[in-house]
Amino acid sequence: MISNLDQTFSALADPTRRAMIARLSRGEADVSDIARPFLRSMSLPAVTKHLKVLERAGLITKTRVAQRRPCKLNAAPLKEVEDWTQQYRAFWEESFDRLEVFLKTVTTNTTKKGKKNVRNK
Amino acid sequence: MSATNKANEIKITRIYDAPVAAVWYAWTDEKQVAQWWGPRGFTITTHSKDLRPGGIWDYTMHGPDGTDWPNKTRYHVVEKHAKLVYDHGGNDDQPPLFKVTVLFSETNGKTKMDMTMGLATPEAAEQTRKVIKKHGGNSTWDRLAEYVEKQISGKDMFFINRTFDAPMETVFEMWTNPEHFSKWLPPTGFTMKFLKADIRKGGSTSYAMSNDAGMTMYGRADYLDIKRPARLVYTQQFCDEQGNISRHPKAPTWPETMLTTVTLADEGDGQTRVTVKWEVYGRATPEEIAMFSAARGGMTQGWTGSFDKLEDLLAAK
Repeated sequence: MISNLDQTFSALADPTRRAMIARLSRGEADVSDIARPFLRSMSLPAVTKHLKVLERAGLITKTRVAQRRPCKLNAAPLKEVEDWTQQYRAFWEESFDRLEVFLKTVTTNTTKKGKKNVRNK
Repeated sequence: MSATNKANEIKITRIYDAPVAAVWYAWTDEKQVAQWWGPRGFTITTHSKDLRPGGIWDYTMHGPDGTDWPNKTRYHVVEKHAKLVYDHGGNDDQPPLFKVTVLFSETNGKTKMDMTMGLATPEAAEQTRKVIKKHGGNSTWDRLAEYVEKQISGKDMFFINRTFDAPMETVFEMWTNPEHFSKWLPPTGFTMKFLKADIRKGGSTSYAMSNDAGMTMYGRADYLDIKRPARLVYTQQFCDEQGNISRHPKAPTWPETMLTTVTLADEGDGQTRVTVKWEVYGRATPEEIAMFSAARGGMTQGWTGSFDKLEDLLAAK
């Protein structure tokens, strides 16, 4: 299920593409609208290439409505990223919660706090 | 360090690997503070900031669930590179929740930040402790560490601090005695078994982590430095059953080698503060670094916008 995570991450590893995602998170937009802010620093084909990468990663969907070509954000792969990152973000917190509980059992076993060793079990 | 806490106070101490000028600047410049202020997942918008006694910092905190929290902080004392006293948590509708005193001092290029939150009563302090824990409030100070590291070394890192109610030796033992280590470290749902455990400088361990669903991941750690009872440095990699380096089975772009630095410090009263610094080790591709940055929830530039919007988007689904 997380098989596309890699593709999603390589698609998101680029600031231009993240800016495009941010734009689309506000609602659908035509290719020309998405491209406009980038045309000062890159060519239209370069912009289109970025959009293709996002499309291949399943992050956006391009449609065709008469003359318009609106793009919209597809949240599913981002949800996978979110779930994955959530898991990592929580990793140390949860381990520390367990350590806290475990330390309690250890410190009560060894008479008083301040006494060091817990090696002798 | 006499950390004998008064019942109505909450104290936080952190050491930052940066000169006091850098830490002060990160605190007081409105553009910089926007990069790290608030728990992981929060962002802020500053409306105005008047850093002088009697001046007000007017800002809105945006929670990961889309909730906005208006804040008006009033400064009482502003001593450059040394001291800040301010009220926290107040706005037009409510009085401040507590008064904060922050002392900054530099030794050997490192900055110590001593923070005291003073509440009206011990009960209010207890209540505030709970609120801070619930919102992961202490991660703010980890984000500050990540931010200053990024400014100074250019590297993306992850920091986490926790204070444990046990002396340094005991806590150190939790990391270096394999039997203890395997009890608390593995991710939720996993059990950890050491295949080899030679925890000393230059030594290495290999282990298996399994869950109920029958998934087993193998890993190894190499200990680069151990200073009992204050410091541990080790690298970690995923590997196969035979010990050959591999990638995370579900995320091949997770960086191949991670470096963990664990620092222990005596906080007085039989308490020990543990600081974990986590970073990508060796050469890594931009994808790997992006993955790590996302995973730490560090809100590095570029992620900020997309992720707080994303939360709304996902909530709307």
